[in-house]
Amino acid sequence: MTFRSALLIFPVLLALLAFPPAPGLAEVTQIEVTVKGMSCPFCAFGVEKKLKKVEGVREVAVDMGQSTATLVAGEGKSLDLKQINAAVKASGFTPGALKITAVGTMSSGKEGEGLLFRIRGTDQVFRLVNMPDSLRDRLQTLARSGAAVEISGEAHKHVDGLPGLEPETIEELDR
Amino acid sequence: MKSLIRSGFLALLLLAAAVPALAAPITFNTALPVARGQGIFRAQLQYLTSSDNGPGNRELEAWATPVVGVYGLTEKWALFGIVPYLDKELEVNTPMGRLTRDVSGLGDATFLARYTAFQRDRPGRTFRLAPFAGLKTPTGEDDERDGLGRLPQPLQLGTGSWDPFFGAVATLQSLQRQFDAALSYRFNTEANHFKLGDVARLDFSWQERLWPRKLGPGVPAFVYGVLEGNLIWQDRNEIDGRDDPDSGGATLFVAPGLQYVTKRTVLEAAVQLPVLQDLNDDALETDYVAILSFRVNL
Repeated sequence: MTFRSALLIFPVLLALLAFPPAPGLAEVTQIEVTVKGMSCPFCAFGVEKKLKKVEGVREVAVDMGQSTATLVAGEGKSLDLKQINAAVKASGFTPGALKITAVGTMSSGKEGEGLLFRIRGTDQVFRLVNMPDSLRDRLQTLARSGAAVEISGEAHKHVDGLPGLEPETIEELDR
Repeated sequence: MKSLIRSGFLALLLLAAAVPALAAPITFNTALPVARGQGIFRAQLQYLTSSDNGPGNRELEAWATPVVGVYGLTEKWALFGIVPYLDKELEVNTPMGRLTRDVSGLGDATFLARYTAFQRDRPGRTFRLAPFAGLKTPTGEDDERDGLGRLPQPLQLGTGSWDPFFGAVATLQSLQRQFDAALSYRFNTEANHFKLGDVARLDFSWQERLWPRKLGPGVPAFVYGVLEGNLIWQDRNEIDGRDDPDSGGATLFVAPGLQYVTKRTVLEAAVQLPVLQDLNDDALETDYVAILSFRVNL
């Protein structure tokens, strides 16, 4: 390492020490992933083993009949959607639908975007879709207040930019 | 006497010659995946008995314990290694009386690689197609002798030859049942002035979940009823470059069996019964092959 490059790296290291990533803020607390192709108990072992290695996982429960695996994050930990998809692929199967439970905040998007949900501590943003009017009204109120909410629902890929999230349950949090 | 003993034993090709692994057929391979970095260990106990009603009244008993290791190199590539322990005993009538010749020890090791070329996954259902290729290596002793001299080649633990093979396996699996079909060909090469005939195989398997009748939550253990078939054709052996007329032919085996499958282990048993044996001249016919097998996810 040259003296010049050391001079460049030193301030970056200082900044990282002064402003470390806040633990416990990134909050995807639970994910249920559909594992396409998993059809026998012996094959489920590989899926479970790979998913247990995903960062932040406390518990993995595989359900053969439903073709799903549910991951629960440890206290103060968060689950990474990309890691989960990669783990399912590494076990030789195909990741399908994702149901997530995450903590974040609501906001109103630009014209035509509708309501947005940003997962706390990440740059992951979902557009909320397919919800009844009663739920929409409540979410708009929450968006105005800026309160933290926990949302559970199915995540969808959308070709036009932001992924969609179809909320099933919503809970306002005081943290 | 030599001709009585040297006759080809197509039946012996069954022992440890298949490439078994994973949670699928008992007598051959499957296209199901092995997770990247995951290992599977399998041990089988196979018992084979063959006999004929000719003047030699030959009786062959063989035990084989193939040990199989599988490793998932990537989600598409799986590597297999198979090393059998063999114990063979042949009894035959000769002008000197009834003779027994036997041998035991490690046989030829087989290595193969399998690639998942096509896969279509749906919730609770998968279809896969996987070509494979491998090599049987001459790790078994091929110059075993007893008081009568060198054992005939089919009784040796190893062939002394390097034998490449290739094939493809297709698997269609749902939560209720599974079908596998495999086609393979092995080019046997010459060693010790002897060449086993090439072998072509068509294997198929149907597994039906018998228990639990209805799936509950989690990962319950399954009991499968299994019905497998193996159509094996072998070309005539060659001794010093000349065809051995008493070798080769075709055999169709049907193997009913049972499998108990959990997340970590598989216990299984099957009996291979010859329903058709169209063998050349005095080639020895198989009575049956019994298989007991155990697999564990590592």
